[in-house]
Amino acid sequence: MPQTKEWKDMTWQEKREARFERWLNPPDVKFVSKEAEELYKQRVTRFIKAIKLEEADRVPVMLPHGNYPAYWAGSSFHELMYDYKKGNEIWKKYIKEFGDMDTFSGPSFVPSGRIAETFPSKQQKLPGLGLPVTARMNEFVEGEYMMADEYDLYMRDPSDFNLRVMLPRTSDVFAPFKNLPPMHGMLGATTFISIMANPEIAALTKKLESMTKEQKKHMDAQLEIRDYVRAHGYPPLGGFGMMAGAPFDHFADALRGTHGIVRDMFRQPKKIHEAMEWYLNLVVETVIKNFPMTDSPVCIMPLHKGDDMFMSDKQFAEFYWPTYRRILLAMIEEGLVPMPFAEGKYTSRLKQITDTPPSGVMWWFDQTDMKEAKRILGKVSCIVGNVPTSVMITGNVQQVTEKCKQLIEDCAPGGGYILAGGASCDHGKMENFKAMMDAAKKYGVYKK
Amino acid sequence: MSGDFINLLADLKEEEVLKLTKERLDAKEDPLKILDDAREGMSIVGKRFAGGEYFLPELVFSGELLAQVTNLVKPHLTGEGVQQKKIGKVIIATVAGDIHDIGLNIVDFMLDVNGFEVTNMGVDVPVEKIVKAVKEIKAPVLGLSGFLTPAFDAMKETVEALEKEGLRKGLKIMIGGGQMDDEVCKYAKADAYGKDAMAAVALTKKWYGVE
Repeated sequence: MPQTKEWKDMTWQEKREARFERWLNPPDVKFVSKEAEELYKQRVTRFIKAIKLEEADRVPVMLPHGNYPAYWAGSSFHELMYDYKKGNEIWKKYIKEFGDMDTFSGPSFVPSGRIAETFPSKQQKLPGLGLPVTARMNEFVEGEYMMADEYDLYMRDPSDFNLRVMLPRTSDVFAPFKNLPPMHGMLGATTFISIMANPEIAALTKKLESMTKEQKKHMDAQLEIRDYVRAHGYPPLGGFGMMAGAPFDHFADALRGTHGIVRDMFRQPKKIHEAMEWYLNLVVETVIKNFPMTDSPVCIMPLHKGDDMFMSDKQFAEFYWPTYRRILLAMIEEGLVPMPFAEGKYTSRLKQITDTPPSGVMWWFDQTDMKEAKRILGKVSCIVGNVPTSVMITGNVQQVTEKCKQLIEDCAPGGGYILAGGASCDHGKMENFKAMMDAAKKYGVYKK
Repeated sequence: MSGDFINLLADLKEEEVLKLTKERLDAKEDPLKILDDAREGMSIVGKRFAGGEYFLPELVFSGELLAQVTNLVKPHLTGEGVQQKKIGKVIIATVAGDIHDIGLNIVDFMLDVNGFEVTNMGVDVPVEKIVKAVKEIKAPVLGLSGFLTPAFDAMKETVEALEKEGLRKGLKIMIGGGQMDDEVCKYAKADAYGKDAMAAVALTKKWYGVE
C-alpha cells in the first residue's frame, strides 16, 4: 500500500493499517517456501480480524508454551542462559514436532547467564544465581529501592537518578557510579576523561566492555531464532522491543515496592499523582511518539498492581486507570495495538476499562471471568485468554478441551476473541498444548 | 478513649492513632489494654477486608500502624503477662524455588492478630525443612504459599514427603498465592485453597474449631 499521506497527517486507523501491512508483508523476511508465506499471512490475518472485532476463518490461538520447549527437550532455563545456540536448536525442533500454530517466538526472558553473574542485580534472581539451578524461571525481588522522599529527585533528572542512585543501590558492582558527577553537566571531552581517571570507574567500564561480545552473541541468537520462526511461517504476536506498563506499576513495582507504595497512597497520594503524570508525559514524548515500525504493532504490557485482589475499584479509578488509559490512547494514536496482560483478576475492573476507542486495545486476561469480559468489554476490545495454568499443567486432554470449548462458546461469537492461556506453562504437557490448538480448529470455526 | 482508639485504628487514621497512643501512655493506662484495643481495631480491619470494603493497601497500611503502636507501647510493658494467650500453632512457608513473600507475610500478620502462634519459615523453603518443622513444632495447620506455576510441583512434593514421614494424618494443609486454585489444591493433595489472607484465617479457625 503506497503511503500518500505524511505520518503526522494520518488518522490512527490509517497509521494502524500501515503497521498491519508491515506485519502482514514483512519486508525483511525470506520465507522458506510459498506454503510458509501463505500460512504466515493466514495467521496474521486471523489476528488482525480478531483485533478489529471481526470474525476470521476461526478463533486464533496463542499457546502458553513459555519456555516449555526447553523442558520438552530435556534442557532447562539454566542451560539456555549459557548455551544460546542450543536453545535455538531446541526451538527449531519443537516447531517441527508441533506443526501448526498461529503464533510462536523464541525463548522468553532468558537472560545471558555470564552477563547476569558478572553484573548481579538485587532486583532479579535466576536459576543458579540466587535460585536453585533447577528453578524454571527468573524471579523479581521487590523492594523499596527509591525512598519515600526521593520522588522529586527522581523527577528532576531520571537518568541521573538511575545512574548515580538506582544502579549502585540495586547492584554492588555499580557502587563506583555513586562518584559520578551530576549527569546534566556532562559536556565536553574533559568531563569524560576526568571520570575515567577514577580507577574504580575505569575498572567498571572495563568490566562492562568485557561483556560486549557476550551481549552480541546473546542478541544475535535472539535475532536468529526470530528470523527463523518468521521465515517458517509463524508470526510474532508482540512486536520486538516495547514492554511499557502502567505508570502506577512503574513506581510500585521497581521503585517503591508494595509496602512503599501503600504508605505513599495514604501519606502522600498527591506525590504519586504528580509523579505518574510526569512519567506518563515522559513516556508519551520519548517512547511512544514516532515509535518505529516493528515486526508486529501489538505491544504486550504486563500489568501488576491494578488487579481485583490488590486494590478497590475506587483506588483503581483514582490511582491506576486514568494515567494508564492515557498511555493506551497515545499508543493507539500512533497506530500501535496495546495488549495489556492483566495478571491476576480483572473481573471487577471490566466496567471501568471500556472507555477506549473500539478495537483500539486487546485485553489479555489471566484469571478474569471471560463470560463477563465478553459481555462488558466485548464490543470495545478484543479479549484474550484464559485457560488456567492449573488445568494446562495438572489437567488432562479432556479437561483442556472442555475448558477451551467453554471459552470459545462464551467469547468467540461475533469475533474479537483469541484463545490463550492465563499465563505461561513452562512445565506443561505436549498433549495439552496440542489439545488447545485442536479445540480452536474443532469448535472455533466461524460459519460463513 | 478506648472506643475512639479502636475506631481510629480501624479507619487507618495514622496521626490520630499515634497521638492517642501517646496520650494513653502518658495517662499511665495499662499498656496491655492499649494492645488489646489495637488487636480489636485490627479485627475490624480484617472484617472489612473480608467484606470487600478494604483491600490490600488498607491491610498493609494497618500493619504499619500496628507496628508503630506496638513500638510505642513496648518500652512500657513489664515482665509477666506480656504474651497474649494464643489459640494454637500454624506453620507457613513459601515452597522451594519460589521467593515471593508479600502474600506470605500478610497471611502471617493476619493469623497473628487473630490469635495464632505463627512460625513463618520464609521463602524458598526446601521440602525436608518443612517436614522437620512439622515434626518438631507439632502444629496441626500448615500453610503453603507460592506465586508461580513451578510451585504446583513443589507443593505436591512437600505434601508427599509429609505423607511418607507419616505426618499427614491430623495435619491440615492450606495453599494460596498467584496461580493457585482448587485444581492445584487437588493436584498437590492439600486440604484447601484460600484466595487471600482472611481465607487463611477462616480456614485455620475452622480447623481449630473456633469462631
